Amino acid sequence: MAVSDEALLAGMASGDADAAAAFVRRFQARVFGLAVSIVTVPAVAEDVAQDAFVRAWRYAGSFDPRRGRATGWLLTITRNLAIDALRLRREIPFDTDVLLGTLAADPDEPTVGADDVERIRAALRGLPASQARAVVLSAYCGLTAREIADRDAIPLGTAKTRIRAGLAQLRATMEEVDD
Amino acid sequence: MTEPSHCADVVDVLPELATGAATGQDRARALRHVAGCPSCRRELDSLSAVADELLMLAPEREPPAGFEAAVLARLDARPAAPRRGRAVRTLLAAAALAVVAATSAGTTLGYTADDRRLADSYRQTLRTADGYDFRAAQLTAAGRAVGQVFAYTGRPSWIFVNLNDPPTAASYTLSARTDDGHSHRLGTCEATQRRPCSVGGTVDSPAAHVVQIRLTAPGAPTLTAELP
Repeated sequence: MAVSDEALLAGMASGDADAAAAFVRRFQARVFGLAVSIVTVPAVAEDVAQDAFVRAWRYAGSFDPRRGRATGWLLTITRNLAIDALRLRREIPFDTDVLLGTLAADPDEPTVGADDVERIRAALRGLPASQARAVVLSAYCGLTAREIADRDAIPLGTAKTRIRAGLAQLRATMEEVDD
Repeated sequence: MTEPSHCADVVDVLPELATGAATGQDRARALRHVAGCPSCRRELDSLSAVADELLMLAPEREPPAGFEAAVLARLDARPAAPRRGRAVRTLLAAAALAVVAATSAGTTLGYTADDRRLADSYRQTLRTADGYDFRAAQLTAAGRAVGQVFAYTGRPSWIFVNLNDPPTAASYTLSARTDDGHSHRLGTCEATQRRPCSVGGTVDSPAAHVVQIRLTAPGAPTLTAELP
């Protein structure tokens, strides 16, 4: 890879149009893919994906490389916009099990160098279903523990435990192989 | 209401803070605690890394044709100029700390190892953006240091000048001389009553080609800086 993600972002922060074009090209499938996973309607997902890049352009200067990777930052922006879109368009049905199934499924074409991603996918598959649901509802849909508790008719404490335990287990799996 | 929280109070909010689902008061309370607690900060960072990685599980999907063009058209219509300009100036000012301290004779006041690391990381950020260049030099009047000059090569390029110690009260004209011999007027620095002033502007050609900065005023000595 000639230029790092963070370097492209720094270029965008200084208003470099070429860096912006390269950034869009590099991440458009990831951003649109995430948007579709959450909002399910492709036309809505396209709006969300466009908005995500516009926001990344405006706030590129505030990205701090010490806090995490550029991909995580961009996908978080995408996720938040997708959640807003879902909330605005209440007629879109949302099915946790379908989303969970999509995330846990093997990709059609394995991507080169995606070992980390495959490791976390396997870890997600290995979680108890209740924890996997809680983690996905939190990370993908932005539901608070209170909202998850209401949705799944469980006590608040149970919802909190499921999110915490699920994330901790995923983290342990990721750290295992690094040791 | 502003009683400091203990780690035990905050630990069950950290996962939601990491996934971005934490709300209002919970979030504010937890962030206040994390700001002052290194171990909770480490916990939050590692949970955030997991949450970020989770978002990568969504399958990639190419958007419809014309997506890239549509996005770029929206970026063109919405220049990030004001924020971008401020961000560059702030970066330059931060790096100025390291430059000033490094070049001023024997003074290390306010210049710590952390400042050096911070300035280095800002310079690193600027440098990694496709080989963009950042240079600084002292502005002198008859051999005496009176300010600093910063040249940032990017798109656009910037020249920024701090005149901390004007030798005379004057309205100084800033010009940049490039290696092709041309001189470019960039603005004026009003050192009224010999108070410090700053001036900056964008240059059309890459700032890497600028070899000298001059501040001139009728009847006043010329202030110059040679860029490395």
